[in-house]
Amino acid sequence: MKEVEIWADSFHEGVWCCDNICNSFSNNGYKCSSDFLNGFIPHYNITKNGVKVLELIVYGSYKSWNPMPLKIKELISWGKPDIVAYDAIEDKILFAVEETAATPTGNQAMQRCERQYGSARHRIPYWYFVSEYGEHVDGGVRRDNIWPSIAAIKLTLIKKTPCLVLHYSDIDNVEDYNSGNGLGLLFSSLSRIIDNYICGKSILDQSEELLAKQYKEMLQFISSQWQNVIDFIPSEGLLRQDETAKAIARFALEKETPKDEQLKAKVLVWPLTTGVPSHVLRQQRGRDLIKYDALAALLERDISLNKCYILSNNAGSGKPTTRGKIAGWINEQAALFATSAQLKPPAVFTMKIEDFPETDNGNIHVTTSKNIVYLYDRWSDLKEAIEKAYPRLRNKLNNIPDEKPVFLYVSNSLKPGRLFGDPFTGQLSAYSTCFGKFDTRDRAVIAYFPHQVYTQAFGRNGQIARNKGTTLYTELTDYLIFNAGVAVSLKNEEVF
Amino acid sequence: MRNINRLNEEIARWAFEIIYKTNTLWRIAFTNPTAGPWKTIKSPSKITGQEGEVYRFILEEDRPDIIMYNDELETVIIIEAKDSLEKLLEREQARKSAAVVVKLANILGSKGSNTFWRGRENYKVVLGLLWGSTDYPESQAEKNRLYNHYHNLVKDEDVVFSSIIVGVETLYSSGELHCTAFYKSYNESSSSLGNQIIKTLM
Repeated sequence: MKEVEIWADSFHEGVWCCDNICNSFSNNGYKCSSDFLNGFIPHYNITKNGVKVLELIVYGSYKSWNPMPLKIKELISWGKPDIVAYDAIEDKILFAVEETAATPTGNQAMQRCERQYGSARHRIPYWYFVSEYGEHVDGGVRRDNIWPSIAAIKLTLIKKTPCLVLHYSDIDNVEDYNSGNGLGLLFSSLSRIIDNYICGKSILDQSEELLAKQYKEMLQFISSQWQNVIDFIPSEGLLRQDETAKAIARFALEKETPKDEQLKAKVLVWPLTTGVPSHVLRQQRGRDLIKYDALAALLERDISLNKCYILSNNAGSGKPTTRGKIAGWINEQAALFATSAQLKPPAVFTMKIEDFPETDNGNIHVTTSKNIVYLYDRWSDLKEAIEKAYPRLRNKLNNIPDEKPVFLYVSNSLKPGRLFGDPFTGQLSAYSTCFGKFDTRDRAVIAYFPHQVYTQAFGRNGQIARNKGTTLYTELTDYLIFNAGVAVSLKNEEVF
Repeated sequence: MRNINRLNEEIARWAFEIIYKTNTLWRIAFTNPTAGPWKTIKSPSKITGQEGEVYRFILEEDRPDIIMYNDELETVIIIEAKDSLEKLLEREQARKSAAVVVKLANILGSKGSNTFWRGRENYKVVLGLLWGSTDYPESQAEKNRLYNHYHNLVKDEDVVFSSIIVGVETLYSSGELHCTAFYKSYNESSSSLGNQIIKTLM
């Protein structure tokens, strides 16, 4: 008799998953009954033709249980999915699910993308179940972000494992789990995995059509939404073809054909500037900064020089913060910087509240440039800008070939500790994947934190601070550039 | 099967909540687990029995851990849960928790026109506290200290029925969890309601 452990953030989520699997199973001749082990641990007995074939046991609140399987421990160190199904006998994770009731506005949907990356990295089938429509605090209805869906498709192609985003809700039933196709598709997929597991088949057996249907929904969503977010999308025509969804499904199952490989080289690959439609490139111009920053000013200049391009000419700015908070955070950053080891050439912390412009109502802007993504054709061009803004880095950053294309990510966050938490780790995971970290012609990844000090990543003792954020940044970035022009390579454990 | 490594708030709260899958005298209108689609207070209409939304918490809004009600006793209990009694006593936490109860009591009292809450808007709203203990239950003296602390925080709030404070202890011992409910009355005439609450809760 087989047993699957459902590990979950909360008991409610584990029970929600099991109840829905059981609902799905009722169409396949299975019968489910449930009780509580020790009076509180949710436990499901699943029978077929009167024979008990499976037990599901829910362990809510991951870290409360002993022993936690090493495979789960390793997975959640990359970000904790809400639900993980684990086969203790084979020591294998069957699937992972992230589901959220959070309104998909701002960075809400992005901040969970590091879990998507962690599961794909471990080749665990992963579903992200998120609302397509949400009511914003201003009362308006917003539609989900495209980047989690794009990152999931790219991760599927790269890691050859199912990685999906399914949407629930519709415009008339905002945030309703039962509206739309998402819930049905999610539990058709999970119950298929469990059914295969019970029958002793490969867990993804007979899944191609079901996966293709889901990838088709994702492609349709991207096709219908990208123009609200960005100025252009590569391979737009391919997104509308059914064959693209089928090819992605074949990648998910490692059944890709040589023709599928050709498609992979084209679909959702952000090009060099020469591949950007000329009317889009013509419209892109560097803009004034809100808060001055030497490097950000040069990045904006490079847009006008066609050395790089951005996603949209309409990027918005971050929300201004109160003067008291800004002053406190600057003091905290200064204290963190004071723990720095002696660097050569010396780096000097000069950040002060006067550097930050004030809004009409007395709050403070932390946004430098409104753009947070810059796609450079050549590392040498970005390196030149970095060295001009921070001369102390001249001839130091030599790990990347000059001709390599680069994705630069900017986070203007000032609050200490934020850079390795939400939403930035999720955002960086998704963007790195989307913009080519793993493409055939791959891009280097640089993250720039103009208001954060490097000692949060690399302590005086020369040790990298280990957390979810540094784990992800070590894998995904080539350099992190911090305040005062200090650069860090987490991969090589170097500070410049 | 795996063992509890550490009794935390999630487990202590869950052990209490599942009692009401079979005890139908009390119904849970809201629970606040770590995550998931549980950000609305819901209840069935007293007239049609159809369930629907009474109130939706907005992002970042302080919310209690459990809201439950008993139509026979015409009573609502709004519960704050922590993994230990000591954490419930932390000054700032207690102030915030009591404020949430007062706010929710006001909200529920104003929902007379809500299709699903209508008829419950005048129910007594009682403050409840839930904590976890490992191996040994808390002493009566500690429980009294807790009740008195919260009583002082809500005694001047008309919307809260402050003559009673309800306590629930989830005790983890020998691999098993066991919930026990208590109350403290601050007014002799309320003892009868207190007894009925405890009798129907467990």
